[in-house]
Amino acid sequence: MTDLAQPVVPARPRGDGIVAYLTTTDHKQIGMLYLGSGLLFFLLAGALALLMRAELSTPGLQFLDEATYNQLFTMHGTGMIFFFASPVALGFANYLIPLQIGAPDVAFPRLNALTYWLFLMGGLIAFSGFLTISGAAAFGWTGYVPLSDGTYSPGPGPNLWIVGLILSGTSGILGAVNFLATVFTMRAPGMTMFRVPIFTWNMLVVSMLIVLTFPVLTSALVMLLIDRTTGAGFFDPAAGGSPILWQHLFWFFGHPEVYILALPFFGIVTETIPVFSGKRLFGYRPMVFATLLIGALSFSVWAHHMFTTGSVSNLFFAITSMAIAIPTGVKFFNWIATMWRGRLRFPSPMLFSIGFLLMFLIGGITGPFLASPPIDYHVQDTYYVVAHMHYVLFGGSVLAAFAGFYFWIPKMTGRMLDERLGHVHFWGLMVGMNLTFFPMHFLGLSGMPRRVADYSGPEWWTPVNLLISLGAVLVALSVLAFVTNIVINVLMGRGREAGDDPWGGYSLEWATTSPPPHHNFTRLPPIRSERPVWDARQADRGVSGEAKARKPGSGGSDG
Amino acid sequence: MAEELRFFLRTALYSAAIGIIYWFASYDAVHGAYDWIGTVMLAAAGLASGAVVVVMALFARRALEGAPGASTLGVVARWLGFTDPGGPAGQQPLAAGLEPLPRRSAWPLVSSLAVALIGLGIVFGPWLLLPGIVLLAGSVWGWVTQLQVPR
Repeated sequence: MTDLAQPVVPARPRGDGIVAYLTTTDHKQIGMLYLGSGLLFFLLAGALALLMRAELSTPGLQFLDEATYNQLFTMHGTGMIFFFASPVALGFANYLIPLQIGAPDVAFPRLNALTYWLFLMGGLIAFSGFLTISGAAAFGWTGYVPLSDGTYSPGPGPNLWIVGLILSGTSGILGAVNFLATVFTMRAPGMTMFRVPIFTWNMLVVSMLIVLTFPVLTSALVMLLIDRTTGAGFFDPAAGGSPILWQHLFWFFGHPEVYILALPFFGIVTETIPVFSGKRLFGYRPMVFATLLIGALSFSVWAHHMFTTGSVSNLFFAITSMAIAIPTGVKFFNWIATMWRGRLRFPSPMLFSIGFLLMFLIGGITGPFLASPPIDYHVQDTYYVVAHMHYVLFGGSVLAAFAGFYFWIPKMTGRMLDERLGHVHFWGLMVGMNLTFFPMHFLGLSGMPRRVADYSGPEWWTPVNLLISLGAVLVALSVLAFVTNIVINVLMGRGREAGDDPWGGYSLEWATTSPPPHHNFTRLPPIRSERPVWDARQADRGVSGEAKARKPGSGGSDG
Repeated sequence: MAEELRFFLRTALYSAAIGIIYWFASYDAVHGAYDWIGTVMLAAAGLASGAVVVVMALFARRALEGAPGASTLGVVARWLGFTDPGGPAGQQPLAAGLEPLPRRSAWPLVSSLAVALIGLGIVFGPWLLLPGIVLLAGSVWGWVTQLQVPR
């Protein structure tokens, strides 16, 4: 790499022992703690899903009672949304944002450590409800009142759920403030806003969404806790309160939360697709503006979850909800245009990225149907909603998260993951998730309600439910392949050495060692576009990166 | 400074605009009422973003004092993005790596344990709440005193 400039502070030894992790303020170690913990919560919440699918494989109650089943689906949703998808996004952000903008760490490293520990305590407290006599929370991850009030959900389990979510919400707010400050104030010289990598741009918008919406949820949870512990009546009509108030507060957080869970993963595939297409990202600036527009619109769609209450303007929320398809469509167009006529390679990160495109598209197409009030009235609280949500969050976020793991684990650990196991993982997951979630559309359209431990309906529901349960087992087996891959190649250190840049990456994290030193960089390449490492590589080959990027048909935009 | 100002200002303006639109769109002709809850939430988002803008603007004015185009109108124009954000306070992020990184610290972990104890105390009683408060006070003290040690 030529023309390296700006010597940075020399590296300091890091240490990898348990005490080092317990006391770390290094964004990379904190990021890995987030990712590891998120994966453990994924396995835990996934195990709960397997129990549910085992129960539903045939009609009638097999080995769970209704109360236990209610706890399982509540903690499955809570675990996946609050303690897997969010922290994994925050984990990647922790690890990558300082690296991608050429900074030595985040703006507030100690605060960063506090956010991780608060998140972990929140997760442990929320799940500790299973250890109480009355069991864990059992009112769904949305916590609707009056179901979640002291009358219908007595006992400490729901309170633990509330306290756990308050802690994790506080963690999210502090983390978002940290990311905003980092991106705005710690970019390396030359890293203007329109040279910031898309993943970091997406996390910037996500951080803003978190800062504006998590306090609303946290406040609502505090109000609910006060209702439950002191008998106050924020959500009790008899005391002058309103259950609809909870729904407004929850979904004012809850729908931006969908994009808080999606945008980071949009960012991940936007990083991987150009690298494995051998091209510059098509339409960098439109991608940034599409992200901003999605973030902005996500503020005005919350009550499409409340069409059937009859208390909201269905027209307003239908229009704004459908409008989100426009910037999302821009992103899809750009991803496909980036691949168009590219020199495509298909290692595991690219497979998962393409899987994300296909699966998220299904979730995206079923979304506007739910945004249409007449259809929403028909399929409200049916398996159609479950199918849509899982194509968005599993087909979208989870597949892209795995793309991120395969892409950046070599950078984080210095070890490559095994490609054969990666392919087994990918194909198992693709077949398994489609067996699991696609038939749910038909169950929902025919009226099968969600969140029930038993069902009775047309005869064809029984074999379809069995098929869904078998699909879930296949998903679990494929995840086992991923865990095996991590254990053998990373934890046991048998993976081949990654080198600094195993994929031919574009952004700054590929300009440093794998894993990076404590201060991240000993040197930085000059930053003249959104892909400085690619520019430096071209300069090494005697080609001007700028000139190459501006060639007709390169799909480039101004850096 | 200009970039974050503009980011928050646009958020504030957008929240205010969508809040106004929502106010009118939420009119329920049957009951003759508007939806206050959503309107207040959107207004609060706008006000919160606006408050950040005001705080940052105070710093920006100080930073721009004496610089060309430092008039209030010039500053506002830059915030809105009508002029080049370059200048003394624009396009110059902090240089990476010149500041030493903080040392290891157990206080974030201890603080979170304290907060967790307080949370459990709210659920189970003062026998957890009181130790949590004491531990939190200790961890805040430890955190602050560690900040005063030269790095």
